[in-house]
Amino acid sequence: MYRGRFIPGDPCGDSSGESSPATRLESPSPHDRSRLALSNKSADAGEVRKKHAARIACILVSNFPLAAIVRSNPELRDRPIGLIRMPTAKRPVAGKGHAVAYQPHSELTHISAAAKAAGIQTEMTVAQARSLLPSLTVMAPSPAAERAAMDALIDAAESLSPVFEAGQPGCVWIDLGGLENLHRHAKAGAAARGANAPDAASAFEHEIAEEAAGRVNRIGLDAAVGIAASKEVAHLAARCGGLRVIPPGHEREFLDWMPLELTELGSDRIGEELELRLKRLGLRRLGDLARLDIRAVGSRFGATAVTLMRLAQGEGDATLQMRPRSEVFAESVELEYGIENLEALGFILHAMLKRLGERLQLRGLVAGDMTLSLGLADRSHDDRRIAVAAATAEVRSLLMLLNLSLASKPPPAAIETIRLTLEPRPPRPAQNDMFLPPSPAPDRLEAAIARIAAMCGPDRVGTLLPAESYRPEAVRLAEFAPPPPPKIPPPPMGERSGQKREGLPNKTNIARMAVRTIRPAEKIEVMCTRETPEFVRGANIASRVISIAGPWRYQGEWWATADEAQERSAAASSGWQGNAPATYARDYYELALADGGVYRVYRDHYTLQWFLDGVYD
Amino acid sequence: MAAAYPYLRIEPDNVTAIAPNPEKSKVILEINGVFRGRELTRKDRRIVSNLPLIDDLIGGGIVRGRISEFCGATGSGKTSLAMSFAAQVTRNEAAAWIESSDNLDPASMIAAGIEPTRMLWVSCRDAKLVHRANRLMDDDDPVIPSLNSGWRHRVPVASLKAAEWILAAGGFGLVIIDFDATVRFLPQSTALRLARAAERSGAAVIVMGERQMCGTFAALGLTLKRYRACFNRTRSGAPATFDGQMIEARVMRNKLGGSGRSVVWPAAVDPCGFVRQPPSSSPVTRLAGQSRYDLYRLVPANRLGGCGQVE
Repeated sequence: MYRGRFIPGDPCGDSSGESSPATRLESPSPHDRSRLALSNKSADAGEVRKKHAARIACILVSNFPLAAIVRSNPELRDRPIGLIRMPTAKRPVAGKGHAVAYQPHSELTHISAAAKAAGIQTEMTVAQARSLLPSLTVMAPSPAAERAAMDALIDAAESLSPVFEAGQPGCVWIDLGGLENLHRHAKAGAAARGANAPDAASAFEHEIAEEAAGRVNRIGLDAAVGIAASKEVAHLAARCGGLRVIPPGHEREFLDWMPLELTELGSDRIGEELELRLKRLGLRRLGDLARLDIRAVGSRFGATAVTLMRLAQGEGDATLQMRPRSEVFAESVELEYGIENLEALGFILHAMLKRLGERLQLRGLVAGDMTLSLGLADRSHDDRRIAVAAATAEVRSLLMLLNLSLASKPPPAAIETIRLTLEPRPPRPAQNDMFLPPSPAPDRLEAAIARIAAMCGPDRVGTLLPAESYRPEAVRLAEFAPPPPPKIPPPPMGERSGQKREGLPNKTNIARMAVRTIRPAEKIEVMCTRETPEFVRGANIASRVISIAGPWRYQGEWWATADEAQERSAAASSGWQGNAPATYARDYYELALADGGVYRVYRDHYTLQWFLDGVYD
Repeated sequence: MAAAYPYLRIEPDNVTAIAPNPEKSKVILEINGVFRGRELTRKDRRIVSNLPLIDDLIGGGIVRGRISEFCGATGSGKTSLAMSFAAQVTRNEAAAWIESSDNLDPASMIAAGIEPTRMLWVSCRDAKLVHRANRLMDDDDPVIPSLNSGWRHRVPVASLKAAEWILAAGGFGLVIIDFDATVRFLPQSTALRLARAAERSGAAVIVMGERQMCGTFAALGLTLKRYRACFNRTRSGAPATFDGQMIEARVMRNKLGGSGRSVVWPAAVDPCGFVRQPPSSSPVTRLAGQSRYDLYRLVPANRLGGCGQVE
């Protein structure tokens, strides 16, 4: 990658002498150098205005459709790939769904560097390219991959600056105004490099450019960054490749040597005609155009030429148009062949989660619930939502949850497209007190809870609380969020209000008897004599009754309507209390059995069944 | 060497004679003092149960950074004792309760004084302990052949893994691992790993099971046994009430104190309503073959005219 500061007179070269193919320009002649000196003098006149000039950075991913595909399939990174102009119908492949079809006369629109090195060029047909390189991989553009890559690129840009504008696919502008306070480390690094203020500012912009390229690299793309006073100039600087900073007031020097080909005039028919006409007149660089009379150019070549001429004179738009955007952290993959194996799917999901994790990390967020949409070979869709107990950024835990969901209910057909969406959540802030006991670090705690939830199930970890019900066994699960430690610890149990009594010392030597509940209650058989339990037999116990306490009648929720009762019954049947009716009437006993335990059993009045509810321990 | 560095002689009787300045010698002794293992576990680093009988028995409480084992059959009072420790911890720290089955009763937990919002509950019942955990674990064999028979013991890998993750997260004062009756054996490597995780995190770890499982890696082994269930009637012919249990606790292993001692302590359904009557004031005559603990019984507080003296 090109790294260097723009040197007047050598617009696309660098001090180290390396240059990319896109930056190959001719060196200026002595006559041109004298003209350059004149333009420098005129630039000094507006020094005050330049101090307050806007600074725009353009992050540009070249060959974007291909880069998006490579991002989705990292194994293709160094392979020769060619993209055909338009996707054709998919052809069925035995047992593997449908595969992308292409014809020998399909034209290549984008080629990778490896293919280019083999002599393949764009607009070659597949047959021509294959004759040069038989191992060429031919693919169709993937709109889903491009969408995901563009979202990721915007996320990377937004992580740098809150003011950004998304341009064409693969291009994002950000406003650098005021970023010194946001990126103090870059500012400090720049200050250490530069001796005076202008150099420090330029060094800071270099630091920002490097940071931007690094962040885009983290999301799986390679980007060029150009920084200038306007969007257009920054875009042209980025098109030169590498990291390029155009200092304020030096735009003309940079643009003077810019070939017309780099301005993308040929993207439409009018521009293509204009470029041809300008070249016929010998105008091959923007500098040639800038020295003409704008009125004459306008009358002869039209509005497009005037716009181009203004650009050549260094004028440009520095106002970024921000559009509201729905923050969707989603990744999509369109598979060439349908896959039926969950293990293979796991590899793809891991890569997708990793990319999403990087995007979330760039934005300082963590992942909440997940939505997985699978497009199947039989043209059906499998959509599932996976709950995440504790928001986490740990890929391993999220992948575990996905795998568990897929293993519990595998998709009925081969998978052709995958779309994974993560709900972003802010991480829990942490602020510990120096004089209080340590509490769990939120990020590490959430990661641990997410891993446990993946292993045991999301409804098996949290804070267990009694439910708002008179039913003795009713419990509910809440998210574990321990409150901060109190500044003054509460008094011990014996000293608490309501528990302290006259003459009762703080330490009573008497523990509270706990019950180990059995969820769901276990059906047992109780042999009675004159309605007094004599012998208990169940799946795990069979013993004679030694002592009895009770019965104590519990009756409740009879006031519930039939619909509520049905709902509760349905909810209970899927939960822990599988055999508990919504309305209950029970006689509770505490039975000391000959096996040494004291058990809590009840007899249900509706079913006349006996249940083992708990054991005192 | 003693001549060159006389202060290295750690003989308290001779320190004054060797070092003329007593204050200086004190400082020197502190720096070069003999490393005594018991000092590593200071009293203020222990977690008390607020039950003086139990705390005195185990030398002041369970130790942070170590494993304490509570063993006993179902109904022997393990859960009640563990909740007593958890109630003290959750006053200002977080604790975790990991169980192999869904047995934790939140009502009992709150009644015992535990702050439920500071208690992380994990149930590994549906984790398909051996099968699923076997896939998740990459370094421990979850199924170990028994030494004396052909059948294989089940190792609760999911519970252990959850405990390890929680300990690694840090910030917990107490981690309670409740193994059900089917768990009988822990591999030494697993116990060692758990002990090291506890030591790194500084959290006290209570392992509950039917028998001792951590072996030499447990700092404390307490065996609990139900001594007597106490039923009571307010008057003749009235339904009986279950008041609680008398539980015998015996120290089977204590690396930081003596072992072999035992006490009997009561666990009551309503501790404020019942007190333990001391043997001296007990009207029950001690019979031949009865131990002194048979004289302990739970007496309703109103019988003693409020709350009587509790031993």
